[in-house]
Amino acid sequence: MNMMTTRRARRHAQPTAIVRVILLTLLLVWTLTPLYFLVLTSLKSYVGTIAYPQSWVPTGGSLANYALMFQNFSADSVSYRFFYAMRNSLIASTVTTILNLVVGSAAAYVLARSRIRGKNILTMAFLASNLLPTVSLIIPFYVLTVSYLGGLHLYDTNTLLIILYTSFSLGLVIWIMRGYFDSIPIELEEAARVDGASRMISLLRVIMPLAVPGLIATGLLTFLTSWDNFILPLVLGPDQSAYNLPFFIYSLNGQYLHLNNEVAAGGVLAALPPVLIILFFGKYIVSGLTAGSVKG
Amino acid sequence: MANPELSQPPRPSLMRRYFRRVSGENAWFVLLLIPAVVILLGVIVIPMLWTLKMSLANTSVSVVGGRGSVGGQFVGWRNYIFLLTDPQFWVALRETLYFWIVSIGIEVTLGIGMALLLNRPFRGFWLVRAVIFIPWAIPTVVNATLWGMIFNGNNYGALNDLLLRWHWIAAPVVWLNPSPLFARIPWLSHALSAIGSNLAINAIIVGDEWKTLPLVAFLVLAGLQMIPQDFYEAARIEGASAWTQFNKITLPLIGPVLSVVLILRTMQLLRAFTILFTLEGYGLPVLSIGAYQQAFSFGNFGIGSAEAFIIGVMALVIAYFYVRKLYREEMQ
Repeated sequence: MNMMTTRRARRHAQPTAIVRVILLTLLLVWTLTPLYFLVLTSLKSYVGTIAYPQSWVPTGGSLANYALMFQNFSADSVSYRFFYAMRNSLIASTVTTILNLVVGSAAAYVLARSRIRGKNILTMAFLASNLLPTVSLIIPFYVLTVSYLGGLHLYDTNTLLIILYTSFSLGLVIWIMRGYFDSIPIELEEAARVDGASRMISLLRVIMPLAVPGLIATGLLTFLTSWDNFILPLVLGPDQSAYNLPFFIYSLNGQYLHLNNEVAAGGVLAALPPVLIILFFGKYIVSGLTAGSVKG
Repeated sequence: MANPELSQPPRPSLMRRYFRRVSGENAWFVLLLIPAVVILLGVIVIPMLWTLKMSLANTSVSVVGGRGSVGGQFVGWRNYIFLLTDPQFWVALRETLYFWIVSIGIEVTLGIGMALLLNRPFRGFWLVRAVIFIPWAIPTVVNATLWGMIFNGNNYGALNDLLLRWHWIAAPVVWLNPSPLFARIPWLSHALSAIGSNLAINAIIVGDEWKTLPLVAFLVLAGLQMIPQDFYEAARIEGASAWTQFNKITLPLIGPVLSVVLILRTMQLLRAFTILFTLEGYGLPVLSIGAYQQAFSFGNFGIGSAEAFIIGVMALVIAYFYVRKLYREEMQ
């Protein structure tokens, strides 16, 4: 039996290796072709994007579409809108991430350690709140902001978007961080308390450092989620004080003319920060998500 | 309200008992928990109740100079009855469910397949992993416009260009048109239309999966790598086939990771608005776009709210099952 399996394994070793190489190649082609097309389009002129047959090799490519995002800075020019979109996106995503980590891990710590009644139900409520689609809340957001809360002048501000973004990944942060805190032995904390540290000190000095991988993972995930948001700026922040990069890319699509080359250039620039995050920290996101949610 | 009988120690008042509970140890806990609860109530629960309130009236909103006023009379369930008797609503529901179920199906099968493919170490793994992960980082709007260019119905659309070049098609195909599939085989075409399958939604699923499959694959891969190799060795000694090993060891042990994936993805799929709205506008009705259109395009905030509330309740029902399943896994 054993002989037979080894012989069979040897006979099959070659073909399976080849199949694996073929499948991996296909996977790379499937991944890279659209990316290549996006970058290629961003280097073309408008006429080049509507020519048949399309040129699939970069001939006479120029950086004119990218230059457009930075040159001729004046009110309502493309570069002006790009600048504000980038600024708003950076501010909103960063502030949301920090808020989420502070508020979320504080709550997660309580839900992991305390004996408050109903803490499991509360965790479930947080997680369930995250499953609620944005679109089912966007109508009251709009109505409340322009009518009853109109005095606060929140409509069309980044502040409003930050408040709303924060709620959207809070449940996920709490859920993952609670998993982390559960996995840290309570004895560590008790040892610190015996040595005279207060609960706050032991939380900040002993527990938080151990939860850093979870913080990195959930923080990056929050950053990417808020970077990606489109429907909220669409409804609540259509002006330069609040609109973000996705909304900017969307508005580059003219009503009559699809300037694919400009859209592609804007798209490449908008994708750059998250792509860099993934290239450098992708591993942490995956390990953080699985470690927090799966009790090994 | 102390107990008058002296033989018994006085029972502390309700207030005092409450303060004892929240003081000291618990005070910190409550303090740390409050911000999250405030956000949950203020930005999720209250707006959700507000949606319900508006859905029970023929709500109208008028905005003059940045300040708006809300009007509308209570109409009971009329908005819901309107929706449930509107064929458009059922088309939208069907389309939403199709989008969700097919996407999850693809993610579970191809995601596991991709993970198994990447699970065996090979040279240059780090580079392949980095490259495969990139699509997930592309913002949804950028991804949508990119696939809009690929699926462009003119001959210069990337896919049409390639297929015409290779003579696989004779004329350019309008990929983003919700036209029936397999028009030459009537029964199949009808069957597919009946479950909401058409060219546009399948094309959009392809574009959406390009972005999301990597995350699914890497989460499953992380789960695979947590399985001790001894399990497989033991199974091999017992003479278990590759399929049995997969079915009896791999699948059960990546279960928890799979549920993470399902939650993350359900969250995004029910939310699926961006890619559909960017590519199709109001052309391909799903529930989320229907609600948006009713409120912000037609000004029917009541009907829009009713549709939004239905989506919310659907999401919460699904969320309930997921969360319960997660907790059961956690207890084990």
